[in-house]
Amino acid sequence: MPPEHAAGLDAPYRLTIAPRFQLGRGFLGRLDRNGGVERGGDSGYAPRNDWRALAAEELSALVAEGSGPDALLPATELGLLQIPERIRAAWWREAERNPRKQDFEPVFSALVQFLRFKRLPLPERVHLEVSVNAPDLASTRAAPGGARHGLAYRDPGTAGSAGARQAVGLLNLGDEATFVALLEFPPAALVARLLAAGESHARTLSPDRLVNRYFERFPHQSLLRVLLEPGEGLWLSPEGVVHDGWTRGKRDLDVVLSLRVEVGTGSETAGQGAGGAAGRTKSEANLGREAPGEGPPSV
Amino acid sequence: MNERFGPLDLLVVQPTPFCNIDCSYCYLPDRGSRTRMRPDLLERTFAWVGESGLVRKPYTIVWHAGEPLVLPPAFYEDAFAIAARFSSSEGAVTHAFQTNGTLIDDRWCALFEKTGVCLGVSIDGPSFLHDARRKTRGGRGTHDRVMAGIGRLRQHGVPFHVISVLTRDALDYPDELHAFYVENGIEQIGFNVEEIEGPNRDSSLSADDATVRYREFMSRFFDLAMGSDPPLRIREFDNMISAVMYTGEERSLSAQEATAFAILSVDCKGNLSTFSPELLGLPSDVYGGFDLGNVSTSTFAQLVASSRFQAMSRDVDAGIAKCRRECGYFRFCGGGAPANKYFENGSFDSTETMFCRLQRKALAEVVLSKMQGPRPRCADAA
Repeated sequence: MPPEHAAGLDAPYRLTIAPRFQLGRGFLGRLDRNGGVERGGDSGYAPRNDWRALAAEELSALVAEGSGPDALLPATELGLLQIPERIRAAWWREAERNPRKQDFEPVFSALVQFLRFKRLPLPERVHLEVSVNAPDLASTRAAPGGARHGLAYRDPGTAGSAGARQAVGLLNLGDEATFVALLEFPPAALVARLLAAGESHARTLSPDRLVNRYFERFPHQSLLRVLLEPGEGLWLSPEGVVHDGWTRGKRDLDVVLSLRVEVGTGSETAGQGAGGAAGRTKSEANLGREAPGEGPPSV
Repeated sequence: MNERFGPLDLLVVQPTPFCNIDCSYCYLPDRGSRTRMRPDLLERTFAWVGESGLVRKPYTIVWHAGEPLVLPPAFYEDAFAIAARFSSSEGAVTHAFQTNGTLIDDRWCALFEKTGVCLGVSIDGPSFLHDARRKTRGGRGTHDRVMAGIGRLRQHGVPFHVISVLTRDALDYPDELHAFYVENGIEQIGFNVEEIEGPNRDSSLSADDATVRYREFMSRFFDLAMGSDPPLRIREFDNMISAVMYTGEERSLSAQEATAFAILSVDCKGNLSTFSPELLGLPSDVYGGFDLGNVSTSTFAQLVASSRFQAMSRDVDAGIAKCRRECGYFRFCGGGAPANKYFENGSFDSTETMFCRLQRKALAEVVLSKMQGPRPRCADAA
C-alpha cells in the first residue's frame, strides 16, 4: 500500500457545506463508497457499481465541521451548495424556448452574481457548460469526438483551443437527483502514491495519463459518490478533483452545469491546479514546475 | 396649545404585555405577564385621545403587544366598537395588528375579513434564519406555526405584509430571503434591523463589518426585488426613495418618531408615552422612566407640563439639532430614532447610532446608487 498522508500532500479532501449556503438536507444518506474502478468509457476508468452507505465513523472522518459565516472555502474542502430555484427555473425556461431565440447569458449572469455574493472562490474568467446525459451511465465525461473519457480531473484541450479546462463547480440543473463519483485525494497525492510504489516517472505524466496510471496500479482504490438534489451543487478544489458523473438508477435526463477554468495547454503535469501556487505549500507548487511536460495528451 | 404637538399619526396600544413566544432579540420587558387591559380602561384611553386635541387627521391604531392575538377576537370586536364610538369627524381610524402569526386561525381570519384591519406578520424568512431567533419558551423554532398561520390568511384571502428582522447572519442570504417571499406570495416586506433597545443590550449587527455587509445585502436585494414580477414592495426602499425625491423635513424618515405626540403609546395599565414606541415601560436612569402619565389620572395639559416630558422633549430636540448640523444625511433622515439614541448613546441628545449607519446612511447610499447609476452587470465574469 502507498504510504498515507506523506508530507501532507495526499491528505484527503473533506466535504462540507460551503460557507453561507443552506441546504435542505445534510450529509446523512448523501454519501456512498465503492470498492474501486473498472475499465469503462472509451479510454479510461469508471467507478464500480458496488456502492455502500458510509458507516457513521467514516462519515464523521470525511465531513468537515461547518465553518463560520466569514470563512472562505479552503482548497482542502469540497463544498456542497444550493442555488436559488428561480435560477434553475430560468435556465429551463430558456432551454425550452425556440433554439434560435435562446439567450442563456442572463441566467448565467445571475448565477455568477449569486456565487460571487456567496464569496465562493470564483476565478475572474469562468466557462459555464451544461451537459445532458441519458440515465443509466457509469460515466458522463465526454472526450472530444463524443467518446467517453472516464474519471479525470481535467478535460484535455481540443484542437485549436487555448488549453485544457478544469471544473471548479458542478450544479445539478435537472429535476431529479444526480450523482458525482469522485476520488477524495488531490492529484499531487496520486503522484506521491505512485512514486512511493516505485513509479519514478509519475511526475512526468500528463493529467489524464496520471489518473489512468493510478487506477491501473490501484484498481481497488475506493471512490465516493455524492448525491446532489435538483439545484444543489458541489464546489471543487482548484487543486483538481478526479471525478465523473454517474446516472445509473436515474429515470430522467441528467442535466449538469459545470463551471470550468482554463488551465494552460493541457500538457502540464500533476500538481498544477487551477488555483496556481496560491494557498499551497511550496513543495506542492514546485512539484509540477520542476517536472518536464509530456506534451499534449492523446485520448 | 395642542397645535404645538402632533397631530397624532399612530396610536400604539398594548392590550397585554404577554407574548406566547420568546424571541432572543425582543426588547419588550414583562412579556411573561398576563395582565390585560380592562374594557373601562380601553374606553378611557379613547376618550383621553379624543380630549387631547391631537386628533386632527386620520390616524392608525396599532395593536402591538406582547402578542396581540393572545387576547380573543371578541376583545377586539369590543375594542373596535369602543374606538368607533369615540372617533371624530377629523380622524378616521385604521386598525392594524403586528402579530407573530402563530395563533392565526379561522376565527381570526373571520375578524380580519370583517374589519379590514391592516395586518403585519413577523417572520424572518426561511426556517434556518427564523428559527435561530424566534423560538417558543421551550426553545423550539416557531417557523412551522407561523407558516400555518400565513397559510390560513392566504386561504381566506386576507392581505398582509411581513416584517423580517435582519441579524448579521441574515445578511448572507438575500437570495434565500427573496426566494422565500416569492414562493410564499409575499409581496410587501419591511426589514427591521436587530436593534439595541431595552433588555436587548447588544446586536449581532454591532460588528465592524456589519455596515459593509448590510450595504451589500440591500444592494443585492434591491436588484432581486425589482427583478421580480411583480416587483416586491420593500418598505425601506419605498420610504428612502420618497425621502430622496422629496426635500421637506416633514417627509423625512424619522419625522414621526422625533415629533412629540405624532406617536402616542399606551400600555395595558393606561400609562402613556411618546416619541419611539419602544420606550413605553422601559426604565431610564436619566428620566426615571419614559412613562409620562396615565389616561385615568393625567390630562394632556398636565402631561406636556410635566418635568419629565419637558426634559425628554428638550433632549430629543437638541439631538435633532446636532444631527442637522453634523450629518450629511439629515435631509433624508430628519434626526434619527430617539430610542436608538438613548439605548446606544445614553442620551436623546446625541447623534449617530448603529440604526443610523444601517437603516439611514447605508440604505441611502444603496438607493442613491441605484437611482443614479446604470444597473450593474456581472456578465463580464462569465
